Order: sequence, then C-alpha cells, then structure tokens
Amino acid sequence: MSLWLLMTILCSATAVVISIPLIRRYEASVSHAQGKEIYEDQLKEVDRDLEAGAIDTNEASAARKEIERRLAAVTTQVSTPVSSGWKLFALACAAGLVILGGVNLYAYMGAPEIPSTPQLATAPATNESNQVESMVAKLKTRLAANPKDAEGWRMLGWASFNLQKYDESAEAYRKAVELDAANIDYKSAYAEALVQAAQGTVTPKAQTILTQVLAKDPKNSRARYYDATAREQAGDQAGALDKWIALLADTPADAGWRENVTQRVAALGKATGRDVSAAIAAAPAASSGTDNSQAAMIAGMISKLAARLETSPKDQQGWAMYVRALTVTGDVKGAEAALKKALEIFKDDKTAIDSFTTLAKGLNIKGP
Amino acid sequence: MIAEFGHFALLLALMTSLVQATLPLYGAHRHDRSLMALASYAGVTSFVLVAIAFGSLTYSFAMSDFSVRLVAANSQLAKPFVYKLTGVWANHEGSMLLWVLILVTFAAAIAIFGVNLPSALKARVLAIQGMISSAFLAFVIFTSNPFLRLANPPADGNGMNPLLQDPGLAVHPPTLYVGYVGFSVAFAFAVAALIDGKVDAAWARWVRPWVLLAWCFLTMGITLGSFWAYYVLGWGGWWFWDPVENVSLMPWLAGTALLHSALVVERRHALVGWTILLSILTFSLSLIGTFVVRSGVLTSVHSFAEDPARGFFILMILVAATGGGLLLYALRIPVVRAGVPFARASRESSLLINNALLVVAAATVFVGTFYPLFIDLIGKDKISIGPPFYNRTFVPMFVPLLLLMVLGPFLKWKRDDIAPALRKLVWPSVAALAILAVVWAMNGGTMFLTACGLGLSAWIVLGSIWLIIKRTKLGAVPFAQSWQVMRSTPRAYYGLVLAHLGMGLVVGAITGVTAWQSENILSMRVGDTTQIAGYTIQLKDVSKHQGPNYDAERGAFTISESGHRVAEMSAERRFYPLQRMQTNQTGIRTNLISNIYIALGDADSQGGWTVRIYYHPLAPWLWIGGFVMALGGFVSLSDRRLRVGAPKRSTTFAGLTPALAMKVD
Repeated sequence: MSLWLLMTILCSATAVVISIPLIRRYEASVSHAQGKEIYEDQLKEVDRDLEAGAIDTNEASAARKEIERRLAAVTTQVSTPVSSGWKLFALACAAGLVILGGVNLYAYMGAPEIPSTPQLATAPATNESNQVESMVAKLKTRLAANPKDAEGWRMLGWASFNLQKYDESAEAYRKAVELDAANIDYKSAYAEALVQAAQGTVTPKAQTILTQVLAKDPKNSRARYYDATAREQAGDQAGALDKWIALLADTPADAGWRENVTQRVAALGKATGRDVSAAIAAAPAASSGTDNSQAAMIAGMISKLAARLETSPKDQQGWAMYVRALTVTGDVKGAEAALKKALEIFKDDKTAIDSFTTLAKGLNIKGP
Repeated sequence: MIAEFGHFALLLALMTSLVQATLPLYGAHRHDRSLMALASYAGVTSFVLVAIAFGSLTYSFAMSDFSVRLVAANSQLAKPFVYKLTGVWANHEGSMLLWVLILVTFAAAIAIFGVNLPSALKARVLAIQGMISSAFLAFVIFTSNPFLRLANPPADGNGMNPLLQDPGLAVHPPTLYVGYVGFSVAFAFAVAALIDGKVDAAWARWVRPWVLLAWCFLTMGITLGSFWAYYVLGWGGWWFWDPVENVSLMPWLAGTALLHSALVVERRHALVGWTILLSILTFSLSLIGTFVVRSGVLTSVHSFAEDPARGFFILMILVAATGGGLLLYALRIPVVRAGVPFARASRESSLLINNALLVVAAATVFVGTFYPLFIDLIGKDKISIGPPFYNRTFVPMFVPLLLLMVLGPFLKWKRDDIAPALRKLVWPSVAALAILAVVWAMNGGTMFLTACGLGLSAWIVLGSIWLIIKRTKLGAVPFAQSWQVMRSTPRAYYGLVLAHLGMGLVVGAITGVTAWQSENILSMRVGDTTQIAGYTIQLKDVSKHQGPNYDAERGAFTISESGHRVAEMSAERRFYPLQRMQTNQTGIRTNLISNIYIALGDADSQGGWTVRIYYHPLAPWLWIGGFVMALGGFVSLSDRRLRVGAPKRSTTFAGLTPALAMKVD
C-alpha cells in the first residue's frame, strides 16, 4: 500500500472520529444523576461491605449517614446546550484543524521522497560511500584491538579522507606516521589531510612535513603540489609559478591532478605576465613516475591485505574487508574467489559463514 | 515509509490535542454534552495517533532504518536486538515521545474508564490534559522531532551511549516517566476543580489512585535508578545527590505528601485547598525534573541533550503550567475551600505535619540543587553542594518525619488523644530502644548515631507490623478471631503497612552502609590476594574477550573466607570502539545481607590492574526496601473500596474518645 493511501486513510479516520460527538444527537438535558452517581455507588458499596462482614452495622450506618449528607449537598447542574449553528462551527474548527493543520504541517516537515533503508529487511545499501563508511567502522574496531597497525591507520586515514572527514583522516595518518616515521607516503598523505582539514590552507605544521618529504623524495608529486600551493598562499606568485611549471613537466598526461596544475600555471602566468604557453603545451608523453591516484591506493591496500591474510588467514574481518574492497574496485570475480577461500577457511564456524552469506548478499555477489 | 507514516500520525496528534484542549472547556462551561464528549473522543484519538507514531519509531529502530536521523545517530547494526528497542527511549527525542505517549495513555484511560465522573469535570480534566499534551507534542515536533530523515543514510549508525546499554536502562526511564506523568493527572484534576469551583467526592475518589499510581512508579524508578548507578558507574555509590537524582526525589517527596493529603480529602473532605496546591506543585516539580534533564542546565551523565532552544521551550511550559496553576489557585481557592474541621490530635493533624515536613524536605533539596546554578547565573562563582549540605539540612528534617510516621496510623480520624496512641506503641518503642542500646554497646559506646539510625529503622519496621498486631488483637483474642479480622482488613491497610515497612528497611540500610562499608582500592597482579571485611579476594586471571559491539577485559576473582572458597566473581571493563568509551560491568555478590562489590580498573605499567573492592553491609535492603514501598503502593491501589472516613460510634479500642466523634455532623 502506498504511503499516500495510508496517510489519507489515517487523516480521514481521525477527522471522522473527532466529528462523531458533534454530529451525534444527545438528549437535550443532562441526566439528573450527574454528580450523584458516585455517591450512589458508594451507598451500594456500604451494603456490600456490610454483607461481606467487612464492617459492622454501626460503621455501616455511620458511613451511610455521611454519604447521604454529601449526596444531599449535590446540586444538579442545569445544561444550556449550544445552538446547532455553534455546533457546526465547532465541527468545522475541529475537522478543519485536523485535516488542514495535519496536512500542511506534514507538507512543511515531512520528507516522503526519502526512501527507507531498513538494514534488517533488505540488504545494506551498496553505494560506494556506504561501503567506505562500513569499512571505516570495521577498521576502527580492528585498530582498537591492534593499535600498532600502521597500514591499518593509513587505510583509515584514506577512507576518512574520502568521506571528507579530514580531521579524522589527519589523526589517523598522524598515528601511521608515528608508527612508521620513514614512510614517505604516510607523511605526504598526512600533510594533505592537514591541508584539507584547514580548508585548503597549508598550515605551518603541514609545511614542515612537506619539507621533510621533499628532502627525502624531491620528486614526490603530492608534496610538490602542496608545496607550490603554500608558496602561492604566501603571496610569492613568481616562486609558485616556477614550482608549478616544474611539477607540470613531471606530471603524466593521465594524472588526475594535471588539470589543476595546468590551471594554476595559466592563472599565475597571466598574473605575473609571463608566457607559459610552452610549459603547458609540453606534456610528457606517457604516464610514468609516482602515481598517487586513488585506484592505486586501493590496489596497494588490497595487495597488503592479501599478503596479511596469506600469513594469518584466521581473520574473519580481514576477509570481509578484502572481499568488500575487491567489489569496490569492480573485481567481482576476484571477490567471489576470495569469498570462496574465506568460506573454506571458516567452514567450521557457523556464525562466520552466516556473516559471509549476508555480506555476499549485500554486495550482490555469488555467495555460498 | 513507516517513519513518514509515524511522523504524519504525530502531527495529527498535535491537532487532535489542540481540539481536546479548547472546545471541551467551552462545552463544560455551557454544559453541552456533545462538546464535552468531544474531549473523550479527541483524547482517545490522540492516544491512538501517538501510539502509531511511537510504534513507527520502534519499528525504525528495530529494522535499523538509518534513513531516520535519530536511528543513525543512536543505533548501530552490531547491537543486541533488545538494545535496539530500548534505544528508542535512550535518547532525547525518543524519550520525549515516550513521555507524550504515557501522557496521552493516561488521558485515554480517563476518557474510557471515567464513566462515573461528572461530565463537566471529566471534560475539564481532559482539556487540561490536552493542553499539556499539545505543549509537549509541539515541543517534540518543533525542537526534538524524532522523525527527521537523512537523504544519504550511512551504512551503519553511531551507536548508543554504552553506559545506557544495560537492562536497567530498559525499564528505568519508562517507570520514572510513568511517575512524572502520572502527577499530570492530579494537576489536571486540581486545575479542573479550580475552574469548576468545587471539589466533590468524585474528585477525591479519582485523584488518589492516580497519585498513588504515579507515586508507585516514581518509587520504583528512583530505586532502579539508584541500583543502576550502583552497578554501572563502578564507584560503589548508590546515591550521589546528583542534580538528576535530586529532581526525581523532589516530586517524590511532594508526591508522598500529596498521597497522604489526598487520603485526607477522600476520607474526610478536609485539607482540600492544600491538596490542590500540592497537586500543582508536584507536577511542577515533575516538569522541573524533565526540564533539568532535557536542557542540560545542570551537567551530569544524564543530560544527553544540551540544547538551549529545547530547555527554553520546556521552561516556558513549566512557567505556563506552574504560573497558570498558581494564579488560578489564588483566584479561585476562596470559592473552592470547604474544609471540615478536625482536632489538633487526630489522624488529619499527623498527616498535615507529615505534609509540612515532606514539603520542607523537598524545598531543601530544591535549594541544594538550584543554588549552585543561581550562583553561577549571577556570575559569582562556581560552587557545588554535596552530601554535607544534605546531611545537615535534609536529614534533620526527615528524622522527625520518620519518628512520626509510626504514630500517625495509630491516631483516629477527626480527634484523638496522643497519650493513648503512644501507649499502644510501648512495645515497639521498647524494642527499638533495646536495639539502639545493643548496637551502641556492641561498638563500645561509639557510633551513637549509627545506633540511633538502626533503632529508628527498627521503630518503623516494628511499629508498622505492630499496626496489624494491634488491629487483629493477635495474642489477646483467639487466633480464629484475629484471622477473621485479618481477612476483612482492607488491602489498603496492608498497603500502608508495607509502604511504611519498606521505608524502615531503607533507613536501616542507609545507616548500615554509611557506617560500616569498607573499601579497598589497590593495584593487583594476577595471583595477588587482598583482604576485605574478613574475606580474602584473589585476582585469578584477567582475560580478553569480545562482545557484539565492544571488547572487554574480564577479571576473575576468587572469594574465600577463612580458607574456604565462598564464590567466584568476575568484573569487566568494556571498551566500545565506535564511541571510544569505557564502561564497567561490576561484579556484585550478595547474600541479601551484604554485598561484595568489585570493579576492574585500568592496567598499570607494572603489569597490575587497579581494582576497587567494596564491602557494603545491609546495602541490598536499600533496593529491597524501595521495592517493598512500591509494592505497598500497588497493594493499596488494588483496593478500590469505599473510603468514607466516617467516625465510628463504637471504637475498637475501648475507652478512647467515644461519643465525641459524632458531634460535628
């Protein structure tokens, strides 16, 4: 049944029930016993108690006397019913308020266009950001158990970065750097997260890290990119342009950030009045050098994961993540193969099999 | 879709509540039956609609529908199913919806079962209830809407505060809310009586059971809350004078007063004005409780909503209800007041003294709770008021009350003499004094206050039991005759005995725990042993294990007494990675006389763990006493018999004020 139909039924039913007393005919006057009923009930109770032996005759007569005294004091209320015109007005008010008020308020506050995503009734949503989010949750659990896992922190940093949670990302990368200070990739990624967390400003902290990276690996594209950005933000347009041009010369044609760099070169060329057309035209022939694109990141992550599972295969969460990651890259065949392997390893663990089955269902791949 | 349907039902409920709050008032004024009947129809409809809304929200939680923002923010997939359900009210929005659900349930109950209520009174009561529910529905819809949706739902939710993932929390808030909200019925009846200008028998007959019901649930709620704090927080305390605890204690104190004064109204038609005033004040204190917890003005573990807009909204409801109620009281009470006189020494007087003491005690707690806030507000300083304040103010107020609560039931309605009543209590007083003396002597003449506390406890417990013995003349007449009286004694009488007895148990437990508890906080390595209260406790092992949504470190302890192993205990420290929070699963071993309480703390650098061990003598009776009190209330509630406090010509105990009693009639 559609939502609209249900809502119409609910709204009409409410209006009808509210209208009943205003449409129904009541006898003109209020019954004489109004307000006396309770005393009459009480008198009956006295008789009942007396019969049951709960009170003796003395108590009963005393109680009766008291009740009758109160009964006598009751004044009968005279009813002055409202006119039928007034009733009609009340009806219009009540029903109108319910229907118009309810519908208008819903039009203002409701969100019927958003689909429900009950996680028990149907499979988990399969869009990419959801995948990443559930991966983050899993990673966090794993890292809590084993906080010395630098690669795990890096993965968390990468995933948080993609979810645009830059603060969390920077924090995760910081831990990775702490655990493995020599790793250039960790450091450059840490700097990038710091810059994004500061809304694109290269902070002094980020600059220090960038300098460290460039000291070790002067060709690191990511570090060079933010280094140039920093120079530009510092107001040194000419110096920044030099760096941008140098970076552009080393940037492969198919690199994701090439367009950005080209733009910066063109803009700064215009601003400083330098002719940069040659630099822009001279594109390197083939993609080479360091490639820090996301696809490569995922690939790196997957291979690391695979290696780890090779050495310690009894890692249910690791397998689940591995299968998920493979699906994200579009490698359904690989994912299915991995799942099969995992099922083989956990063939004696019923809960694990169940969870893999749900996972397979959720990822829309062939399960057991 | 279900969530949207629930949202729509909630919006419709606001509309029907508005109808319920307005038109029937005019109907009652004109005595027009159709407009008065409208109150009942609207009341029941509001109930059905809010129930649909609450059901939809529960469904969304059960199904983990993360497109509902509240579910995404407070639930997670890897959470035991039962906590998905209790998660509905373990957050601000859901708990307010539960509040409203209870409110409209009570209104619907009055609408359906109030057949012998005069129709004008009924219409007015329901209209007042309608005003309260309109205000709270508007609050829920406009400041705390539980049905807001997310266009991009996350794959998993943020999870629930781990402290709240506990069976105690499944029942604590609902019982507390039934208590708070139950007092709204008394409030509605009070305001209706003020509008009506009279208090009749139907009024009294209806108010008392509702007050009693609310009181029972509030008693249970406070008891559960105290127990929850005891075993979850891991500090071995059972009452912290924390603002959130205080704001539930205040309506309890006022409600206890109201309960006793409503009794006087029902039986004797006296203290009418005072009862109306108390009804207004008790509900105001309930609203203050809601306000404090919901607004987070006083920071504490419970204030998960720290939003000024919400606090302001509830403050406005509070001001309107209290201000409006008191204004109406000032204007109309001269019309209503129709007191029946009673003598200075009488059941009525003793209940009035009880009322005065309870209200002053509530005021003390009020000052203690809000004075720091006031000081903070005028920018002077940040101060905190702790147990020493309450020990010096609340306790002296409560002790005479406890002494008197035994005497009161021995007094007769209307007029009596103190001396004969006291004479009936000779044996309980002797026994209580004996206990006092023995305890004092056993401690070598020290700990006089502890001895007094235990003597007081004995006085209340024995005095309450003595009521039954005296009434049935047990021992003085043949047993068969006593049995006959025992059987014909109204259940409400047993309710009284139980409730008072429960209080006595609580007093004893508080005394025992305060005086004799011992604690031992130390660092233990596996294999280490320590001593507490004659027990030897060994840390046998610490192991890691994995829960559905947490990791835990579990310490296994062996308890032995003089070489014999008594028990195995375990205490856990849980870490919830999603929320980055730690909770305690304390180990408690009770033999119903005392508790051994173990909490496992952090590991230290020397390979040991911080372990907190407490020995709490008499502690179990704190909560047993609380539940006995509530049980007394329920027993009394089950007795819906006539209550006319008609003075008796022939008295049970010969020689006491016989003929005098009928003079006033």
